[in-house]
Amino acid sequence: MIEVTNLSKTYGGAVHALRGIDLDIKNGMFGLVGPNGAGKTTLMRILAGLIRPTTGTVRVLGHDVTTLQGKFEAKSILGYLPQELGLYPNLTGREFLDYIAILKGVTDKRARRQQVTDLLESVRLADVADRRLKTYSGGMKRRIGVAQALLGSPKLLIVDEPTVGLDPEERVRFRNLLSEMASRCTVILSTHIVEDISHSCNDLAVISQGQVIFRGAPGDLITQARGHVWSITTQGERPNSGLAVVSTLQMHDGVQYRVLGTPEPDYNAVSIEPSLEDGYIWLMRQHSPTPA
Amino acid sequence: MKLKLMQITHIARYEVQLHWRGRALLVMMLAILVMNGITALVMSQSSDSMPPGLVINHSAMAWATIGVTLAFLLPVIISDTVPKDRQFGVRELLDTLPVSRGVVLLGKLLGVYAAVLSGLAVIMLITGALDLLLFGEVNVSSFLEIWLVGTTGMVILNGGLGVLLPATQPNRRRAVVLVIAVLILSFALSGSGFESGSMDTYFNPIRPSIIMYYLTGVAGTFGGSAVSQFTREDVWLSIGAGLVELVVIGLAVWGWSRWHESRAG
Repeated sequence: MIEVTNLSKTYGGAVHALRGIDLDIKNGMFGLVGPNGAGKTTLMRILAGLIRPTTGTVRVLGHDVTTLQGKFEAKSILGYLPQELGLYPNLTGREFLDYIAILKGVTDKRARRQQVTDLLESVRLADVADRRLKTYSGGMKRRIGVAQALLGSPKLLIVDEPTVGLDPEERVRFRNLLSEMASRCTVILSTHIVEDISHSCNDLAVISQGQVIFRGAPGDLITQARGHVWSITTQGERPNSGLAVVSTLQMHDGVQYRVLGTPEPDYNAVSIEPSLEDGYIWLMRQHSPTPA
Repeated sequence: MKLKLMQITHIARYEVQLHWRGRALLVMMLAILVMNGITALVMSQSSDSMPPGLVINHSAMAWATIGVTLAFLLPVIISDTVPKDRQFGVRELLDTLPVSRGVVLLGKLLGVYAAVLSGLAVIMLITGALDLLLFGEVNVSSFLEIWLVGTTGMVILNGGLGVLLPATQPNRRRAVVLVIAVLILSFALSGSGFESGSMDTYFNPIRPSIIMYYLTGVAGTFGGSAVSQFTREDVWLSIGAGLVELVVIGLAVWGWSRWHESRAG
């Protein structure tokens, strides 16, 4: 579906956003996770044909998006939700979707209207569809962004940090919507929120400092942290600096810490099952010059 | 080709809505309407002391407001037509859609024409009705020429200039500053005055030949009471020169867009 080969992007000759990335993405839901500034958005923007790589090739369904013609072909099968979606404040939600739909090539008026109505219902904006976008809340704008990305039944859906600004209920609903879409097309979900990946992706890559440092199933990432996750209860003192504290829970008999690393025997640490977040943090620690 | 035409029509349709829902165009149209109403009332009150040719040519008086507004205000008001996409953050989304920047630009340009001309058409009808009511008659040929040639010509030329010239600018402020700078420069460069038969005058974005002809010449032509060095031929030459200007600027912007698309990033 998507083949990324030796992809690099350098800004101004000095900032290396991506360094020789190779990826092969099949149908389904693919998660791209990494810290802020890791290069996720740069990779997403290259896949969407918005920017050109410095070196390397990207093929989307056989179309080379580094060429003008290939980029145009790829755009006709693409749905894209940028990290910061802009809207025309004086158009209504329905009008905005109608506008984007015809630009995506949905020319049949009846089909377009039906598709817009269906999508407004699926993102629960049918009630406010005829209100101007400037009156929408942040979450509503995000949902209209999701709806526009789904217009035209894209074969590839790229969503960049989609759950930022959504409340927990909306986040769950949004993840479910993406999972449904993944049965019909390839969905690439870029996020720094590991929870989003753990609930929806069966294939993921972790990117850090412009390089892919992990590629596999969520279970494989979890396995990496197995034997390194501990629960420590103290009377308040924080575990030593060699450990990465994942969470802190105030208990009636002290403070319970969930830590990663190798605790000293004095702590009476209890080994616990790692989560995907543990696996991610463990991986980042292994690739970080200084301990987290 | 059919898809492109549909996309252009669709973009134009929504551009009309966006402009009418914004305040600037509405305020401009209301200002023209109010000024036309005031001049009509004033002229009707003092019609006994005015030469007969001028009485029926309130259209020429109305033109003073319309011409100056279309020359100086319209390009500024619509200068954000393309830059607003980038300012609102819609540009990035549009760039991921299977539609070229040329199609978007053309759609927006036609949308601006449609928005402005539809507003002016309403004003034309109201002004005509007002003239008929207050003066009892309308010089149909001069009225139609002013509106169909003068006004439409100015909208196409200066509307096009206002959309195309700042199309490469990243935000509204820079678009407005660029257009104002060009208009001031155009005015400043005409220090020696505007002359019939001069290429400088024909290519001047203020369109002095059109403004001056309909301000004074049309009264002379139809009413026989005023004189102007500018003729109808000057008007057509000015429109021709303006169209050449538009094509050159349009091609430059289109070339810039193609270049930008091909080397995105």
